Amino acid sequence: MWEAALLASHHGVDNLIAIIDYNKLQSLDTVERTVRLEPLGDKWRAFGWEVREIDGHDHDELLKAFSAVPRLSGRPTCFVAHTVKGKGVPEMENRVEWHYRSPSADQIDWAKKNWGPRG
Amino acid sequence: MRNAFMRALEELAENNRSVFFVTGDLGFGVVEPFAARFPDRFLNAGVAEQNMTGVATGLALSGLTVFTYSIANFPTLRCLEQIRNDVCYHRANVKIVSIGGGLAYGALGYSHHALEDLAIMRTLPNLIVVAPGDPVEADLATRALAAHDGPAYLRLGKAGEPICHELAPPFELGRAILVKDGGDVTVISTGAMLRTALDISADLNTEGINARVLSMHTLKPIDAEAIISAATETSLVVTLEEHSLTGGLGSAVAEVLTDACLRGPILRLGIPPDEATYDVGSQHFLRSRHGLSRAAAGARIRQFLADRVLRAPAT
Repeated sequence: MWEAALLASHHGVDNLIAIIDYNKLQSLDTVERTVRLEPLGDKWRAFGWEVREIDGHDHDELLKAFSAVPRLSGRPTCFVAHTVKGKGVPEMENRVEWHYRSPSADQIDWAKKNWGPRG
Repeated sequence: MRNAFMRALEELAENNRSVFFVTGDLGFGVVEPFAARFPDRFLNAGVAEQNMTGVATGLALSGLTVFTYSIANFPTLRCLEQIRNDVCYHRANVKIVSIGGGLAYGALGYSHHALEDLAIMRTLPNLIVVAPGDPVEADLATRALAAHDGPAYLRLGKAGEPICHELAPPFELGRAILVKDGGDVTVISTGAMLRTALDISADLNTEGINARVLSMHTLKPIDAEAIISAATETSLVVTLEEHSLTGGLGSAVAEVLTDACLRGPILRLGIPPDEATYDVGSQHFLRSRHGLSRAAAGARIRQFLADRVLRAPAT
């Protein structure tokens, strides 16, 4: 990935967008406790990309951000989209096990009932 | 096999302070006990197999017995050059372990199917290539590889493979295990196809065909003697593998027979390389799809016997 990041900025590919689904989890533990990525935005900046950090769950913000590309002529754009794995169901949020598990029909019903849209 | 491997590794680590384990961020629910017991001999290298393999080589060259661990193709093909130039070239004491050989991660699609690993690992210098047939062999292979000072590739299944050996068989790297004797045909299997080979042998037996079953747990160096005996003492050699037909067990057996100037019939059952790509589903489903189930593989053997062996003109 870092090889691609170098090549894209070297050639000024400003119609290229990288979106990082930045949920901070790996498959055994957190990113922070495994192989630290922070400061992630600064790393992309150092590789010559135009970087913006956004809320990956906010559709309005995503639409607005994607509509304003390229943010800088001659530079590829990187959106660091901060997300929460399992978003919306507190019992599943930020838990590594849900990288592997699929909710059962009962669990889906339960989650919809407790955390789904009201009315 | 995964659990048999981890149990054996923990025992080895307990008795041998040089045993070191590096994972490519995999083994959720499996590697934690090792990490808790031996925190100074456990490293999660992250999803970065090339670096994982380079680091493992460095650790090995400083005197440790290093196991790298990941699933499917990741610990082999993603870091092939590091295995070739770092591990093999230096004869470093690194054991590359892959969980989920063949189609064990079938539902995750082709990216997670390991169908070319045996072929590619078999070409590398100084590397021993092992694919145990059941959890008992996985345990024995882990111990044998830890005792061997040099590079090795250990291709394991995932979890829940049936146990094929009621008693621990004599196990030696490079020496096939005669699981069932027989004088009519020989079925040679590698990896987790051993159960299927035994089932087919039982089915053939009810039809009066006495099948010998060999578990070829070591593909390199391969047991040429057992293969030559099979080809000279029985009328057909069948190879059974959850792997591409190019370069795996079938190829290795054919190489041995060619080098020995033997022309006996050989039926290679595996996955034609161009058919390997697009199917997604459980291991059971994919095996059936590729004609490797007990029923399908058995039928292919019967057909081959009828068409090519029993009716073959005398030479």
